[in-house]
Amino acid sequence: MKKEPKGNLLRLRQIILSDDINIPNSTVEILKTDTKNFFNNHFKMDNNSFEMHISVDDDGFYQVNLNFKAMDMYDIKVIK
Amino acid sequence: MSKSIVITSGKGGVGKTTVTANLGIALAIRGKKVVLVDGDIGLNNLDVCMHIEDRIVYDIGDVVKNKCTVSQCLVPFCDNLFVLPATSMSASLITTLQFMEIIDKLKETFDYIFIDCPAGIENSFHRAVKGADEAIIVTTPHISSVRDAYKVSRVLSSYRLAKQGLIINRMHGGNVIDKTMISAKDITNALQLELYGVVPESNDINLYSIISELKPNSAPYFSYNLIAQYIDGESKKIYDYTAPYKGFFNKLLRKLSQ
Repeated sequence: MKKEPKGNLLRLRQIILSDDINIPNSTVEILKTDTKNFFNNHFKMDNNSFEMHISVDDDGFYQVNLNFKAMDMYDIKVIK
Repeated sequence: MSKSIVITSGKGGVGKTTVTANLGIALAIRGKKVVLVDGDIGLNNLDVCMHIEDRIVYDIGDVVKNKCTVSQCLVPFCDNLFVLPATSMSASLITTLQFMEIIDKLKETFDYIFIDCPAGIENSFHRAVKGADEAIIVTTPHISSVRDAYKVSRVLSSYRLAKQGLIINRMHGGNVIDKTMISAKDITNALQLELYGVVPESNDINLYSIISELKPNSAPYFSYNLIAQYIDGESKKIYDYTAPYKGFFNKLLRKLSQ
């Protein structure tokens, strides 16, 4: 029996829509990953200790609180 | 002006490495100076795809360890196409900043830098994307692949990339006409990305086939060249993957072969 592509297309749209609803905070997650990666370049981090909280204060400013433990700090090397 | 483009997909096995290799070759044929960077550190395959695995002296890990310079690490494929091979060392030993420094160094010499991105959206993915000015997402027409492409495009939208394009690999015109496969137009609409081109499913191309080994009149060769032309600033032309299946005789042939 032939599968209808419109059925597949509908299924694809439903999956994408469902993904969109289920990952509402992806921007925050990306920000966390990026920040973690950045500090990983400079510190030997305890990755499990990394915490990032983003909130909005009473004046309407974003407040970003970052907390992590690091065992060591790397030297900055230059690529030849 | 030099341009670095990351080739990504989300899902593995959709043809990122093959697309990276073939776009590099197509642009090199056009006279551009191109380097292909294997961003899939630890699970490197670009060297195998380009048939240079037995010519590697240094790799990206040696550059980071200051054992060699970036230019000493490059493996020539032809006059104006080079490969920066990855390493089998742990991916975590190369930091994002080191990777970005290497890409900046390559920009001094090359017109186009293609970064073959690893599958997934973990740390290695972020490192590869950080080195890029633009991104090309590769997908096949399968739902799982398109879904992952959508997720990747969402992640990429958080980066300051100048452009995000889409290449649909392994499109089968006959299946689209028979209505058993989603069309390129529907995939593009679902993903809301700019379509750079379509690479047709073809008997001429196998796993890790590079266009320098293909007949110049073959469909994949033609389609990769159209995409390369667009990347290089010419007007966009999309390969008509349904054309070989249209018409009375083609329909008859397909019926007979079923």
